[in-house]
Amino acid sequence: MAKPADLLPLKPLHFLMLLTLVDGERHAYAIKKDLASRGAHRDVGPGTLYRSIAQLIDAGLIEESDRRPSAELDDERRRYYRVTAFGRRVVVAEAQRLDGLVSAARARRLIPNPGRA
Amino acid sequence: MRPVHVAETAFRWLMHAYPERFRRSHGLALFELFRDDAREAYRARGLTGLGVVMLRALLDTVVSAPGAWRDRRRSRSHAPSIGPGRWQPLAMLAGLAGDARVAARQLRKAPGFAAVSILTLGVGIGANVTIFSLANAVLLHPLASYEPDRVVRISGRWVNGAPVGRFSFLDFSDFRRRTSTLADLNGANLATLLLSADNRTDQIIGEVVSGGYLSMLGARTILGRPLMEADDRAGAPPVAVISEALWRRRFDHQPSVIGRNVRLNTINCTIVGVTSASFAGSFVGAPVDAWVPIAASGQTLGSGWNGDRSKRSLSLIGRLQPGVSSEQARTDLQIVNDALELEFRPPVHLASIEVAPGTLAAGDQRRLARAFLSLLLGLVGLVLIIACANVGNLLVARLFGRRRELAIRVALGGSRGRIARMLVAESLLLSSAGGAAAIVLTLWTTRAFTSISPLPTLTLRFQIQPDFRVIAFAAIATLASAAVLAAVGGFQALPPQIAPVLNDESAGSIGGRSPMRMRGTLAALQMTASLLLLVGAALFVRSARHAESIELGFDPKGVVVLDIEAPSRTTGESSRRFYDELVRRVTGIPGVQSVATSSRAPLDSSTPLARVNAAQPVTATADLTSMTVSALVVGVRYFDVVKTPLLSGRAFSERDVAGSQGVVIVNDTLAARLWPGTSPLGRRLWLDPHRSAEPCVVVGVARNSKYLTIGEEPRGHIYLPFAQHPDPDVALLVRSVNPLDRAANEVQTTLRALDPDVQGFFTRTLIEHVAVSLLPVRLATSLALVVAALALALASIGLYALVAFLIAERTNEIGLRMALGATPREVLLLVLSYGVKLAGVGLAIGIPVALVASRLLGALLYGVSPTDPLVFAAAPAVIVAVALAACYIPARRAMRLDPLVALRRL
Repeated sequence: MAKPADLLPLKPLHFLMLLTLVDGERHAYAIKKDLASRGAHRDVGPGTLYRSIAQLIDAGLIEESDRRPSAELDDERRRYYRVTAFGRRVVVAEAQRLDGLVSAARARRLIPNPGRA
Repeated sequence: MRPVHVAETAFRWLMHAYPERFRRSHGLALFELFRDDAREAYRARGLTGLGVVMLRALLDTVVSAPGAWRDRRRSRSHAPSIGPGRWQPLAMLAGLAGDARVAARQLRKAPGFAAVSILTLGVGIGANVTIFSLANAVLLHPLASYEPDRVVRISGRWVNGAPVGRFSFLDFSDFRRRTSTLADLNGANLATLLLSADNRTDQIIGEVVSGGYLSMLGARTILGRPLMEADDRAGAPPVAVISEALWRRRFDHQPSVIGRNVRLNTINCTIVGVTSASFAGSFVGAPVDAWVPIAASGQTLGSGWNGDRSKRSLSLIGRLQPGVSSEQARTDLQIVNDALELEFRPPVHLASIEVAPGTLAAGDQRRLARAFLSLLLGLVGLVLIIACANVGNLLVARLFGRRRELAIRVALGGSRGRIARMLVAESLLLSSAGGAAAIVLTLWTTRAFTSISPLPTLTLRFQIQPDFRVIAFAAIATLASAAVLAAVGGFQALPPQIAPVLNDESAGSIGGRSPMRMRGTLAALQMTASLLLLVGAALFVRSARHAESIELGFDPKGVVVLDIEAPSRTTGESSRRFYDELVRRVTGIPGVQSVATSSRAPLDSSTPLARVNAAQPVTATADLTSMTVSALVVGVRYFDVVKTPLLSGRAFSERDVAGSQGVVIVNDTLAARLWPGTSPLGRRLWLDPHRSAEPCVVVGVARNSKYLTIGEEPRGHIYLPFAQHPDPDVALLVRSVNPLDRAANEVQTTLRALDPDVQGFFTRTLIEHVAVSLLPVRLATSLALVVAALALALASIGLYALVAFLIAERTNEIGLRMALGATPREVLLLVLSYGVKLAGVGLAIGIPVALVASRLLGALLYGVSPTDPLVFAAAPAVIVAVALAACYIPARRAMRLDPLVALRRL
């Protein structure tokens, strides 16, 4: 089993996708909308999104959810994805890494300290 | 929702770019994601929205699909597909290098194939890079080395739309003072200079420039300093900057040249700098060897250079203020121009100002050069197509020979993608080697263009250096050839049918099999391209023939010409006295028959134009009733010197002097246009107001001749007497029975004796002078011939190889036919008919295309229709003959085939 640290740093897109999924299970279209609403990735192309999904699945960070809508609802054949326990550890590790970097920048007063600002 | 369905189908097709495994697990979801996007966008913003989504999806696929392939490879090797170290350029390079190694090994096994292919591609790509280098030097390469985009050329148009490239010194000074959009504005003109140093005098060409010219263009000096603004102030000590070539030729590379005093024309000046060899000034082809400031050498711009707005001698080059667009600059300069026109009311109005990129070719030159060079690029493009088809043919033949190896690879589980990669690597390797050969070839061929001598006394100088554009063009041409080759090869190799190949069922007749059909198509395509080139070359040859035999309207044999500038004769009267005396003295030389001055030697593209009106005075602004004609101010004996006959009336005489009735001689065409059906003698003709306010009287009609270009249609022309319109700058024409070099020397001696400060430039015979007009057509003809010969040679080699290969493959069939009673003659006919069929297909496509394409040449042809029936009969005949010849040699081999030997191989 790989350690979370082996996968760091994460691509910003991967990190944001994981953050989105931490809130709950989502299908790809919802992930896309979510990313767009965060303003970070204004519009992710379908191919890029699915390549990222494939990569995250391969690395064991997310998995397909069991919760599948019934086949009769034809238009609702969407697949849902959720974060694995390992994925959650990776996203926390990445967040801590980023936090460390931001603190370093703050210590040099490059950005204001939210506490005192 | 129909457009959405179309988009969905397109996307489904696009999804094939992803690896199969990816498609299997995510394809449906990927598709649905796209569909949601597409439908929503279509609902919200209609077709535009749908288009945007489509475009995004396309770009996204291009970006992400290769990544998906990489992921797949990595997941096979159990490396994590995310996290650090995902992108492994080293590994990718290693993979490519591996492919290249395999390809190189394959090519080493077939050195003949490799050599022929590389050479063929080298010639094809090289021809393109050579022509592109020319186009680049003239049209694309910026004049300035520092922030070249901000440097612009400024020109204008007369009210009648005719282009004006030059400005008077006064206009230039006013533009410079009043513009707010230019950070710098400089003027320059060519001048012939006499350089005297070490008791030796040479004639050189220089640029008379304003002070900031050299530094604005970023001209580097390898010694000393460039000219500066301070050098161009009235009263500044005269200085000069010389070229590296002159420094080498005349001053023996001595650094002590800086600070030396030399005489340029009549001025003693100090050499302050030597420019690097890469700087050649701003005039196409001019071998500029010195730069002198206008303040000190202004009189080389012609008399009245600093007092007369109609003396337009300077081309203007400016540097835009930061952030200013050339359109803003144009508007600004237009406003300045309009103000100047109002203030000074010049006799002819400059209607509009144009601002163009700062490249070597300016104004009309630019349009001409662009037309000519793009035509040439088209021609050599065809050669590259032929070269690619040839190598493609060889590649297919080789693949066919390797079909067993390929089939075994596939049978053993080698993927087709892998084989395709191998082919691509081979094509890339071949064309890269070809591209490298092309660059070597180009360095050599462009040297042929760097010094062209239109006159014995004048060698043009061109700076043709490969810059990043040339390299990029070579790279694109190379990649394009590689793509064509890979496509040709891949088309053949990818569906190898394993079983028949391995069972060796390949020995039978192959005419209908796809490799042969492919090769046949390529050969026919070559015939098409060759035909196009042949038609072009034949038209040029016919046109050149025609141009040489065109009736000039004057007799150039036995006449010597030299250009004389007498800048010290500032008034018309002193010019008139000087040239009267010169003509008198030269006439006294034994052997000289007649002598006359003329504003230009006959047939010169810089012959001045004038406006005339038979009914009313010519106005300063454009008017519809005045005609534009060419005009020469000539001496009394002019018509005796050039032997242009007068159809009626008289020539000019000694009685036509300043103060007497103004007279004019018109040509046939002008007479017929202005006074159809009646005699023009005694009629009145008004000229441009700055020439004369009073009307002139027509005293003679001269037969038509050629005035500006050799290919021109009959045009209106007037002759004016020198005594009534004197000018310090003339061409002196001398008809002599003596050998022409002797006559020229005697004239020079006489001139020096009369005034040592006045010099004759560009001594030449009138035949040589006329040849200058023929230079473009000669150049085009020889280039077209070389290109066509190259194409035909490549195409015939290609056809030869194809037929030879065909016969080798059909040995069994031919043997069988002969054993069953076919005569060698019938075998010969079989082979020849194949060649004729290919040529026929090529011609069937080529002739209609040539009929349309040859119209593009129309402007460059003299007296030959672009659809000349002789050319269109001869060119296809040559193609068929070449095809037959190319088939004949291998066919003879087939005829001599021993049926027994052939059948034993069955």
